[in-house]
Amino acid sequence: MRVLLILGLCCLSFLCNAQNQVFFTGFFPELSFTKKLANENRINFKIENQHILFNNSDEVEDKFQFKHYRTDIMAFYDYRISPTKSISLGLFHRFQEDEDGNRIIQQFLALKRLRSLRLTHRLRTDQTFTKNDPIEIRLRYRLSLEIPLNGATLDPGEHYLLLSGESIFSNKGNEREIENRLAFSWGKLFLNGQKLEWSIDYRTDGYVQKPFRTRLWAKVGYYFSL
Amino acid sequence: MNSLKSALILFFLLVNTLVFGQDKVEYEERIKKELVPLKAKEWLSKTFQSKPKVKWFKENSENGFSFEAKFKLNKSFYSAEFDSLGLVLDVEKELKWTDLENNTKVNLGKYLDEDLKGLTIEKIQIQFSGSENALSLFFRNGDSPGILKQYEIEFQAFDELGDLRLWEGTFDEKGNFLNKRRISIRDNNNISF
Repeated sequence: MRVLLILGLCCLSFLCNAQNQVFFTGFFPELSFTKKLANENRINFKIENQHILFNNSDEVEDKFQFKHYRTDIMAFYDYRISPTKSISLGLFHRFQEDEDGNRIIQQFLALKRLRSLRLTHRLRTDQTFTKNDPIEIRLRYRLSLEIPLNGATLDPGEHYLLLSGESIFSNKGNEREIENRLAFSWGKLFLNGQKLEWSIDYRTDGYVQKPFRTRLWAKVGYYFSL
Repeated sequence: MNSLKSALILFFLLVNTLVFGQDKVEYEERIKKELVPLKAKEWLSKTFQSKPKVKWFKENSENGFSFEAKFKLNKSFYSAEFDSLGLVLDVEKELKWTDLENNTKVNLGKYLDEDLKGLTIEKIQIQFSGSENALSLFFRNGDSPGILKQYEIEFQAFDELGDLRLWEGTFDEKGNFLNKRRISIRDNNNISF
């Protein structure tokens, strides 16, 4: 009973605070294609689409909506340093309501194989160029943990959980910002190495540049690999 | 907007067909103790009398299936493999480099240092194989005739073309090199990009 009361108070507190926050939620499909080259380096093409289904902002007429927010297309060249480490260079284009944006991405990835789990560190820097806006420079770090659900190792045909947390530090003109992302995914690995993932992706920002903003995405991703 | 909705519906239909339309051929699955042959469970409790907490797995392949018991004992990780009838095949124990005997280290070091460049050791296991009774006696008494010991070491090293690869090498009891095979790591394209 006491636990329920505490949980209720927490929810009430969140809802009260939410009045002053920007919150929106929606649907976020993504499609990724990776081609492994003869030297085990990789190229990747990816498309992501974000559609808002609910927006609590007073500025919008209908809080419930089906509105295009962003569509991102990107390409990466991934150079394998060792069987468990790689560096990548990526190009990115964003279609959005205002001016479209372009981004250059640099990435270092390190995989740690544990007894049953796989831990992945991803360190990224990126620079975003948008017309009439200062350049945005970001530093990102993500930690991911893959947990097999049907045995000690993940085999084709089996399901897995993927937990990830990412912090992003950005600078745009003289404005600094912090963003945090948490994602909880349930996926399936297919015989041919392809993967399907369903995820809940929770993002917060506006820690420095108010208002505080939260975004909750229902994601579905399909990952082709050849 | 309607075309976008139609595209999304088609996308869902496609991925759901893919999810439910494929079967796997070779896989390992966690199973309950009740599904393990009595012979395997009896051998394990007779051999490891401190009764460690055991996780049981069934390994399925096109050629049949086998059972594997994984457990931790005295801060070391073990796995015991049994055939489909519950007859023990081998027992593996994870080791650290510092756990190896000096002679073994010298011989392993000769191969790993002299023949390979860019070496990083990822995992060391010792495999014990022999008859059911010999293996049981070995783990109860610390020694037994008729036990074959081999080391399995996973390491990163350059191949003949100068590319850094992941290998599993097999070495005899004294640390002499027997053979090696390349290990492929499953693509992590969902995490990388």
